Amino acid sequence: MPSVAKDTRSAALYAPLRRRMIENGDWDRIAARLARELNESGWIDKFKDQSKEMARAAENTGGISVDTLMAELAPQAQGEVPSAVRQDIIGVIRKLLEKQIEF
Amino acid sequence: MAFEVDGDPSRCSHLAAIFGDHAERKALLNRYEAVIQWNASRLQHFAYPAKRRKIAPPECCVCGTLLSRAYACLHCPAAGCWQDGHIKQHLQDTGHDFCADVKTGYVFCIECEDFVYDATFERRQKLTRLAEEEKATVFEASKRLREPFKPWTPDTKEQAALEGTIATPCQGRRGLLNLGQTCYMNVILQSFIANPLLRNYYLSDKHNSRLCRPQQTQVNCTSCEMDKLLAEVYSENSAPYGPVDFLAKTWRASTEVSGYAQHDAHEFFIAALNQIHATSRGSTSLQCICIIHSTFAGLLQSDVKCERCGKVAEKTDPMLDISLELKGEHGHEQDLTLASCLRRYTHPEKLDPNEYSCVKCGKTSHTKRMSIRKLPPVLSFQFKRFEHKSADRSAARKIEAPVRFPASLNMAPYTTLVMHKQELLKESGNAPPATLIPDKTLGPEALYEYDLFAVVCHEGQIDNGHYTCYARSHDEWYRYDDDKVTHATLSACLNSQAYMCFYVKRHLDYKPYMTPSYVVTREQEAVKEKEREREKEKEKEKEARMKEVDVDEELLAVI
Repeated sequence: MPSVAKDTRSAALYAPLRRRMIENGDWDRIAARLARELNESGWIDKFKDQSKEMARAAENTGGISVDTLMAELAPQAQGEVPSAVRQDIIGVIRKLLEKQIEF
Repeated sequence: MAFEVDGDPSRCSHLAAIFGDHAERKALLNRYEAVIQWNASRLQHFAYPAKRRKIAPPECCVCGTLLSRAYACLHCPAAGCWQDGHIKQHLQDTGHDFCADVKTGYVFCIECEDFVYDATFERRQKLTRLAEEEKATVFEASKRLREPFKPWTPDTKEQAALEGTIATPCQGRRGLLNLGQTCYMNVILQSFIANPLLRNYYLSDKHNSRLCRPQQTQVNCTSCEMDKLLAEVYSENSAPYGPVDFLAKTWRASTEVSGYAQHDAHEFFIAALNQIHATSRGSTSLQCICIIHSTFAGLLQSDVKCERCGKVAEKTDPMLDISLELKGEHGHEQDLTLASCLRRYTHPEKLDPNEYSCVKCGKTSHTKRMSIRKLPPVLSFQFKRFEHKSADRSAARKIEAPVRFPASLNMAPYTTLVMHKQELLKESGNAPPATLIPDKTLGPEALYEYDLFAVVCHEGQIDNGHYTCYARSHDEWYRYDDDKVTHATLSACLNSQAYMCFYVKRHLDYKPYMTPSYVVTREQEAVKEKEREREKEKEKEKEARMKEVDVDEELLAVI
């Protein structure tokens, strides 16, 4: 999941930090915030519609599996996350971690 | 959703095999319900930090990482990650067939290699989630919890009645004929037809136009027209329908929307609501419980705060819809979204010093803030696209800028209670809460969630334009252009230039443990009927005895 884990200290910290975030509820809170912001930006509606119409188009040719839909749409979906949302969530995570780690 | 649909032919064959065995079916569904309940319960509490987690999330059965989003095997207690295929690996290794995503409730079949849909799962999932929301709702006044939702199952009398019924094959969608520039009326009527609360009220015979005897003063019962309209739409006839009587009654009752000229759809909307309210049962001028007010009425609150002494004057006003300004302070409208309009609507604004002086300290610098005190079950928004610079209608301008609106909306940040709590937290120096709802007593979030079901669009200029609308039927969107009804997509609807949007609350909340007033009146009526019948019987007996006496006298006279 982490795209950059070159720093060995970061790599070693990732799993316990993630565990603590999940146990605290921080993970869910940040995920909920991300979902809200993506909804407001129209991202969720856009991809819901796209995947639905893709599935509908494939109905006559035997249908399309969820895995295939994900494989086809995920790269585009990740790329189209608005940069404002990306920056905001990164900021929230950074603030949270700053409280917990000594740099 | 009323009946469990078993024996669904499109069901995956592996699922059908399990459902065929009673014990296996029960075990599978129990496990499914347990994992859904675990997640639903967890979600009600994550929003509020403080206490320790009671139950830690499970670890992946393959890699041991803590699962932020568990996929649970439906045959054994294992759970795993989806992304690296760990849960699939478990299914393959053990020969178990199904796993479920605890977040969405979707079920995956390893044999079909895809997620499979089944109405049984969907229903269980909805009921389980709702039960968790009910448990998480805390009332301020009452110690009792919410009345738990129980799906309707027909009793023996109702079962017998149902068996005697003939189902009418119908689409529930009909075009409406344009009776001469009446597209403004057609779009509003389509929004009423798509409105689940209005539709259910009339289809369940709550206002029967054949039995309605309007009082002398109100010959034009618009509520009857609604009943007739819905009966026409939910009939076998799918040809376009001309709502002639509806139009005639509306013209008679409201002069603003009469005449063959093009009218404003929003004006018609308000006029129609008022007419239906006036001719519906339960209609009163204060705290009305008629179908219109039960569906559309909310409360707006305005708080006027004195800058000097801090005194706040609260005033509430009832409303049937919310009209949002599109023009920004800078005069141009860019990147408009429903959320940004609502934020602007609820943003504090400085009042003109000449307008108001504080009752407490006499100073004249105030800010006013609007918020929604009570959310109606159906929330209607109007975007003020038509600017009237003067009383002369022809000098008005139309704001063409598109407004982006979502398919689902959470109204919590714009409600009075949430806004007040957030202000309190800010003032006391606490960090702004990381969650939408700042306090457990104001939740759960689900109480504030709305889903879009109809959009009214306007194309063209102010005096020379055309209204069309999009409306949702279950999960499919349709475009209604007078008599032409076409299948559309969600994105076509969201990309249109909206003039009005209609949202319905996802879960209704109602006063718990109360008998509905119509049931009470029905029982009272039944008692009165029995009284009347007893009286009639007595009268009949009296007459019979009188007749006997007369006959006796006649006989005597003869003898």
